[in-house]
Amino acid sequence: MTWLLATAVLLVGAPFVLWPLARHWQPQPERLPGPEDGPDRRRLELEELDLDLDAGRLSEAEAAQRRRELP
Amino acid sequence: MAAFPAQAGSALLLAALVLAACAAVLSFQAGAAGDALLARVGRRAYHAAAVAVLGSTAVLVAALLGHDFSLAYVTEHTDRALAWPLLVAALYGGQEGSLLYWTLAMSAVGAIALAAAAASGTRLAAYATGFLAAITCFFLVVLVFVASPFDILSVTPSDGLGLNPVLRDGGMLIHPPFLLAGFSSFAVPFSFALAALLAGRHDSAWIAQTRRVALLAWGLQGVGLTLGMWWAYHVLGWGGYWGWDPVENVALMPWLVTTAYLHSAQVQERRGQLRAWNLGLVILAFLLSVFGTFIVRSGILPSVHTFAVSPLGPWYFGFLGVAVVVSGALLAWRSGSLRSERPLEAAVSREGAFLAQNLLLVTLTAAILWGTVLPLVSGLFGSQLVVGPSYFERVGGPLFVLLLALLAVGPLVPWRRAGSAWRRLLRWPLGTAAATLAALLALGSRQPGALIALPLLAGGLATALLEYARGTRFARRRQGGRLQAAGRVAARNRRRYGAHLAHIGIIVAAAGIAGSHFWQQEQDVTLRPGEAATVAGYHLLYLGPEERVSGDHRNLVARLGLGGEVLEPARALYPSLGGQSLTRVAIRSNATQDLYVVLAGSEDGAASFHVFVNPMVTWIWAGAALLIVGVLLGNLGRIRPAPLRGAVPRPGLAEPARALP
Repeated sequence: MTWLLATAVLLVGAPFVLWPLARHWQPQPERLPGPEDGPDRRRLELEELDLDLDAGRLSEAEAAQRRRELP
Repeated sequence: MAAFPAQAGSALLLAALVLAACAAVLSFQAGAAGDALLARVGRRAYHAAAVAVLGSTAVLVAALLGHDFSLAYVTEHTDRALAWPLLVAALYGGQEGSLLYWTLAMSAVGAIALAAAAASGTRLAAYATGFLAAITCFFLVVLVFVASPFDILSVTPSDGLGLNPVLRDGGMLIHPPFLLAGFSSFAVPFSFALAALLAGRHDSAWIAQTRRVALLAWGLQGVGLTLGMWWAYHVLGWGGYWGWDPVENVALMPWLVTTAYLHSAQVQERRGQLRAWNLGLVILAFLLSVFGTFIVRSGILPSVHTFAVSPLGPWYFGFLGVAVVVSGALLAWRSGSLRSERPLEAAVSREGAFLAQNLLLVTLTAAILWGTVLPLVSGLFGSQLVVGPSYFERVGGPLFVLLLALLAVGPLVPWRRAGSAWRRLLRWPLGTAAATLAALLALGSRQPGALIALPLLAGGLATALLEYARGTRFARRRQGGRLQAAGRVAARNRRRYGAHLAHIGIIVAAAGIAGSHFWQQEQDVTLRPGEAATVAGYHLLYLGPEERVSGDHRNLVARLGLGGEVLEPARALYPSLGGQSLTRVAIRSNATQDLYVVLAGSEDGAASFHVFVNPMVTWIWAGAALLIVGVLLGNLGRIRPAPLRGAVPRPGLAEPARALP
């Protein structure tokens, strides 16, 4: 009886599992999450520098030096 | 037909096992072939397995609520007198039911995480599904073939054996579900870590996928640990909340390791460093959670929490061995490509502070692990050695002190390397710590532990508040309007300021732990009706005993007058459960201290009481709540910040932020 019920559950679930095959689903282009890059990353690093300077973690000279080192 | 629910529950578990196995096979195949369509089918199979586990859980809950005593599990853990919330709580009150709940929590969190990660790369997402499905298969195999909650009794009794009295408490409704969900959720970041290794994705992509789910597991475990402390404090009646019990320790260890990961992940995100270390931490957290499960389920270490000795021990030991071998082999295979993008520029830097904090947390974890397994290890070589709380306090104390010092200093240090400017900021935490030390000495405190810990905590608080003040000033300069600016800066940097709020929560909780540990007062008093005693300034008048019948138990209440109030410490006796008894503690709390009274016994009309005065215990619960709020505020919703507008250039900076692309 248990095996019979389990088979029934699998049959009920099969359409959900196999649906992508039936409708010839096409994968979406991949979106690779990660750290900000390019201009975004540069902007964020500059803002961080400004905040560090304002907070006193960096001196004016240290902040200017880091700004020059940014890619 | 009476057995139909059992058969339905078993069938759903069996179907879940088949679906999870299909998900594992299809997903590994999809990962190897880079086949997005197959990966989607595998993911759907995993989601279907999760739904089947949910259905099976619903069947068991219905059986518990319906007093279906044809099921052995229902008979062994409930009776007809049990209130319905506790009937539901019996789901995780026994070995088999808690395993089912564990599997449900893991598959639910896993299903959500996999759905969120679907677009993060076919191979990474597919392999993560494969590993998670394989882990789920293990638990389902145990549930189907070894410890099924749907076993049927040959004779159906008219009533059950009832729930353990210790579990008949409001805490039972909230503590175990959080802790078990936290334990099981560590499998999800672990699966992503192994997937990243197998797919060769060692960049920050896997961090982005795992950080939030690691945070979720960490949060659930943190809430579970706090509620466990609260439960122990209110129910067990020994005046404390943490006993360094093996099961408490194994729940704490993955939480500590994940705390380290949540900090070091920032170093990888920002600097591309600590890649292998981060993978190792996520893997270690899961291995420790499996180890903890092995300890709890096997009963090989004596603990108030462990289940009776069961046949599950070897299964978990085998699973732990496989997990160690697979993750170790993958780490070794990819070790060559796990080097940092760039070296650590300077030890005195934000990343250096994170690394030091990580090393302290891992050392603390190792010390706790050693103290926990010492009876096992020493037993292999002769006489069994056991260490008590003094070992953990002696070893852990200095490490905690160093962690508190880092909490005060770390956020002030800039990334990459620290010049000379940041040292000026130290005057705030140092000044606050010195003032706190002076105040403590002036108040007459001579307890060395308190004189070290509390000034450090005050210094940490000064640092967190300083960060808020500086952030507000920064935003106001750019955008005007103090409140508006504060709100905007907090919203823009939610992760940063959420972390500072979480730090404040840690500080408040740690102050509560320090205060209650160092300044606890305790006294035993024996009183006859009409007699009074004064303990730490509290004048207690014994009004006399009283017996109250409540459901299936009797409460022997000793009434104590305290000013205009009446405290009622009691002992609950359960004749139907072999005469088991349970302490009912009377607690009077305020913001600064708890009066905690335990009825130790009564004889010849006299009653004996253990009276504790526990300072600052409420700070622990308040601090934990702040910690959770900070984490939630910092991580709910979309984190990516929007650009600041209307930036005002500062002198000395070559390029104002508003001119940026």
